[in-house]
Amino acid sequence: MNELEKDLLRRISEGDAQAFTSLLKEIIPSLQAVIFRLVRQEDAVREILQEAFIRIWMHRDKLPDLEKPEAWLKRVTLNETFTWLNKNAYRARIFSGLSADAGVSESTGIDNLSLYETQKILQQAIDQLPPQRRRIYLMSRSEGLRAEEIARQLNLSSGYVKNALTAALDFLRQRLKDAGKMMLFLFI
Amino acid sequence: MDKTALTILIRQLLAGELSADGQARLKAFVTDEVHRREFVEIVDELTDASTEEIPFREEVWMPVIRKVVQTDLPAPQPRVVKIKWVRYAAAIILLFGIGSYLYNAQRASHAKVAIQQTIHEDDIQPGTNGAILTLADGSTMKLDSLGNGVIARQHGTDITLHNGQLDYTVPGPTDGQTVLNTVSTPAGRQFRLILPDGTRVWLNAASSLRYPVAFNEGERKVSVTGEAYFEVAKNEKKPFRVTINNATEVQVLGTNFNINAYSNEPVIKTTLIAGSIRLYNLKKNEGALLTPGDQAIVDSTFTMPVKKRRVEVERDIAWKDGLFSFTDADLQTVMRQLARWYNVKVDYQIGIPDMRFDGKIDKSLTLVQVLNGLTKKRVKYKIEGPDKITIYR
Repeated sequence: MNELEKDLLRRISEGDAQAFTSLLKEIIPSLQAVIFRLVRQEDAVREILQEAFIRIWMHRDKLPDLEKPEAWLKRVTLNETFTWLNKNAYRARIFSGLSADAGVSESTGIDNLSLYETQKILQQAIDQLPPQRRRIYLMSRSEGLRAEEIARQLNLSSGYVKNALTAALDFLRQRLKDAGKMMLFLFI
Repeated sequence: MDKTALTILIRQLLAGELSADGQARLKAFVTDEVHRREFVEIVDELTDASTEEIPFREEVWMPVIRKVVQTDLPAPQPRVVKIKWVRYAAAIILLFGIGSYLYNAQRASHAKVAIQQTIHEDDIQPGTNGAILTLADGSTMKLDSLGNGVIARQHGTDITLHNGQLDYTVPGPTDGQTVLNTVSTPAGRQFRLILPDGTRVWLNAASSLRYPVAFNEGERKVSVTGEAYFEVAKNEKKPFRVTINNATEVQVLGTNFNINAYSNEPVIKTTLIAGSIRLYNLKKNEGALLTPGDQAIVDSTFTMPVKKRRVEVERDIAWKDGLFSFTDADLQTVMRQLARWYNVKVDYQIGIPDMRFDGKIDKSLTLVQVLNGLTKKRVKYKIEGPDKITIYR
């Protein structure tokens, strides 16, 4: 994994989906190589990484503060791999003696079900945010505005907006955790 | 299991050399949540992400990434979809929204005989008969809802609407002026008309036909966009000419043929069912003589020579009899036709799946019914709103 640029992480922390896409494009090749060796199924690799990426995305505000972002990203992914093995040991090729290329495995749809649930929880949580915080969050996510821009439009300080966005994310993460969808910020 | 034993097992797992016994032991290990931390630490130590890579595949990962960054978006705003209940004269209006379902009981009571029927919330109804008539003076008439009878009289020609078909009759001598009318169909409508010389024209969705209300001495000239099927009334003294996009012309004596010239299709196809026609590419100044069963293909830039091939003509004119018909058609071709009939925009979330379709589909089906038919061929779709669908792989 290459040394990740601070600037990219800062942009991601502000909700820049394009910056996040660039990061993922950079880390997917090596992460999927490691996970594939643990599960030996392409659809499982996809499920695991999808969950890991959601976790990372939902912690985006923390990324610039990480001392070793690469190490953390790998840890999150390995944690997600454990979760998958823990839940799906019966599905894992490695435990059934099947070789990695024993035919095309059919997708179970589990990944999308989980994603759908996560989405529902988050949508409900967004509705429960206090009005001002909700408004700021929506301006950031739906309209894709940067903190400075939101601050200017609402006549607030950009520090206030950044805090509100972090508080909103904290709340959303808490909701995911309550629903058993996400463990706390692990091992950093 | 101590750490050394576990490390050995995980090393074997990573190398793909796990014995049956090792598989059982490791499986038991990971099924206990308390081992999470130990597992993660050992795998972390044993792997170096900087030394191995599987190349990034756009088509696999872009949909995943897109889904991930959309998980924390607010729920879309509830939308209103109107559904016409055509079977019973009274219309029921149902309001649908995501997560909320509102039923307007008052309105429903107007439709006393309405029988409960399963409706897909977001279904999209098929197109119907209808068109817009533009008269010579620029005024327009919507032909969907007008009753039977004479709807206009221009320069000695009566325009009659009869059972959804437009009929031009010239009862007496005309004043000799060339007066042009246009019938155009939006997406979701098709229409039939009879021109003053008795020529019958079927107009497919998103198409138009421009013609004089009375043909002059010497020639009969019309122009077309989109798709139309002609049954030209025989008149050897007055050749019938169809211009397509001012660049291709079909000359006819008395014959049945179909022109498919949608601007979003890659080529213009002219198919001859009966009789004889000559097709001219006016830009290249060249032509081709067609005999029944021939299809002439002109590329939409009009730069290539006219191509000719033999086809099963029934398939090309199935649309006028209420069928979609596909012969080894790719998904995009299928979707372009559905888009015109159901008046929807089609988005492809990730490239265009490579699939081929053969067969016929009834055009009176709803979009969901048609798409479910296609789904058997593993097309995944989502109805995003009353006029938009997205295709997934």
